[in-house]
Amino acid sequence: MYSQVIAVIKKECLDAFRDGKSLSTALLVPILFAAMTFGTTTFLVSMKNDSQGFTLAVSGSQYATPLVNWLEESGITITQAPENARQKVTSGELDLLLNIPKDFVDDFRQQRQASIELISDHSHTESQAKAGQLRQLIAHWSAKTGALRLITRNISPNIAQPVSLKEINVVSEERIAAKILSGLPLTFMMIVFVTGLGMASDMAAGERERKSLEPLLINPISHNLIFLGKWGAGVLVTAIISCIGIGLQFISVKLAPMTELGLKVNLGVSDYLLTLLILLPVMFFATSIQLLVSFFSRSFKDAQTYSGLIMLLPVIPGMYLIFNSSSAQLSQMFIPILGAQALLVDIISGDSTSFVHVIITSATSLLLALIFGLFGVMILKREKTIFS
Amino acid sequence: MINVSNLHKKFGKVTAIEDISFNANKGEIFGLLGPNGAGKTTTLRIIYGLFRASSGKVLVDGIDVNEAALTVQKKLGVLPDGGNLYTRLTARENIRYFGQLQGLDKQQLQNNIERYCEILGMENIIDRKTAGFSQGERMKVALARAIVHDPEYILLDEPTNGLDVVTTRAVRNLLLTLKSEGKCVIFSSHLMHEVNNLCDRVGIISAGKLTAEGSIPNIIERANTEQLEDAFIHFAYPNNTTDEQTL
Repeated sequence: MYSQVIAVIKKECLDAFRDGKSLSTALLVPILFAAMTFGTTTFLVSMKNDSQGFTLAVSGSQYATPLVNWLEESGITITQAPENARQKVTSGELDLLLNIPKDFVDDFRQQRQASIELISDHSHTESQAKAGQLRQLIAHWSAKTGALRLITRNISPNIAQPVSLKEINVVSEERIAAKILSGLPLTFMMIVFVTGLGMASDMAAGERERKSLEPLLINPISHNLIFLGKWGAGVLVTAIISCIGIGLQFISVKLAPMTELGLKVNLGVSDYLLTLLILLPVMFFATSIQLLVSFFSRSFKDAQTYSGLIMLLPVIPGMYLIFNSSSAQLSQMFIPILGAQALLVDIISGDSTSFVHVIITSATSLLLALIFGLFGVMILKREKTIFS
Repeated sequence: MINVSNLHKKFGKVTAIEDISFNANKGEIFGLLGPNGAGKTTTLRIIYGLFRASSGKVLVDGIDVNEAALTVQKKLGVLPDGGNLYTRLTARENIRYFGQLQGLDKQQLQNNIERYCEILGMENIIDRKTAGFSQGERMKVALARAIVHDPEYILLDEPTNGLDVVTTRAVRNLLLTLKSEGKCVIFSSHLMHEVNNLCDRVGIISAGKLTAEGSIPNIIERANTEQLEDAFIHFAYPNNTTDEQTL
């Protein structure tokens, strides 16, 4: 009995590895995902570096020297505004323009509220990040100057600020990093779901379409064992490619300049192995549902159409977790894919992973895999599967 | 012996076969004849356990195929109509895969592959991938794959359809060899000269019913004709025996 299942596994693996096109596509997906992870992180770093210091065109800087000095001390390079500066902001040649009018000096000396203008294009995302930083700096300087004026009048600056809000950020650097890498668990899931898709379609719908299923079913091996063999082969190939794909993801996170963002990502070999352990039952689940759908399909093309829907399965819980970054909860473990993805978020965040959670989510995935497998066998047993 | 008794098969409301009964004995070749869609393939599929009869029984050496399909399948070597090969595997790998599923050990499997490779003249193709094989080459591999486990009963669904003369002759010689080894062969065909040359007895199925069964001389005599082809038309098209356009 086992030798028959092993014969099916061996044949299906051999067949899959000789299918150059499907294999290269299956391998290409994780490579592309790894490149995407590295590229995204590097892009975030470059954005952060860009926003740390920038050049600001100022018109009338001589009227507000203390303010301009403060801005320069804060890392902003001040340049004299060119002619037609306002027009240049409109045309996009200039990001920002700070206009200090001549009467600023009088107003400031008379301790009246002095106005300055910040001219920017609000539809331009990058300049708005700089404008935001500038607003904070000017507000800080204004508050500081106001406080000094009150002190000279023997009035406590606290009177002008009846409430003081202190923000305490309890999030760890790993959690912030995880927020940036929030798409990673979904990427892991996509690798698991995408890599075996072509093979499952070929093993089931392809076998039907090529008319090689009937000779196979005439052999003295039960439908259950044929399904088991194909299932095993699908899981094996998915596991091999996923190990490579997820390994590449870990390498690209390691190589990504996370420390330049001031963030810590501690993803080691043990995290990699734990990730694979959590994903293994998902591989059984994914292959099982892929085989079920593929045996249900009349042709390879049909199977590929339905496969598009299967690929959406990990996206829904994945998107939920991107927007809800709390630690994994027990109730999530009973929902397949979601539970595993929530645990992956914890691993990336550097949080400890509950062994009980791993067991529950694995059991849920395996139970569903088994149910889908039984449905798959039922479809394989239908006479219609042979003649239609 | 294969004993088919009172087989009925319905697909929904459509009756595919009705009250089909015949026996096929060891050491003989039994031909199952009939026009397209008459029910030959359905009958064979019930015999080899892929379809379940709506009523009736198939016994192989006294074992009911409905009750012990896997036991019966061990005794059968089946070449279904249009059954294809795995094109990314070599001819040897295709045959070996089915031999493994039949439970043959490594040595026995190797010996049997060599034997059928020689009988069917596959020496030059045995280690080639089957993609791009000619129909004759595909048929030889499929046949070797079907009987690699040396079954006692061999069921072939239109094995010589579309084959060239040389391959047809190889298949014919193989069937005669199997018969001489005391095996029972049931094969369905449209080709009257093949049936005439090979079969000891035939059964003619028309519109899902067995309209005649017996030895070829007996069938010819009962149809009151001189050739098997005329007798076939007589029994396969009982309402329109003289209209050759029907064929």
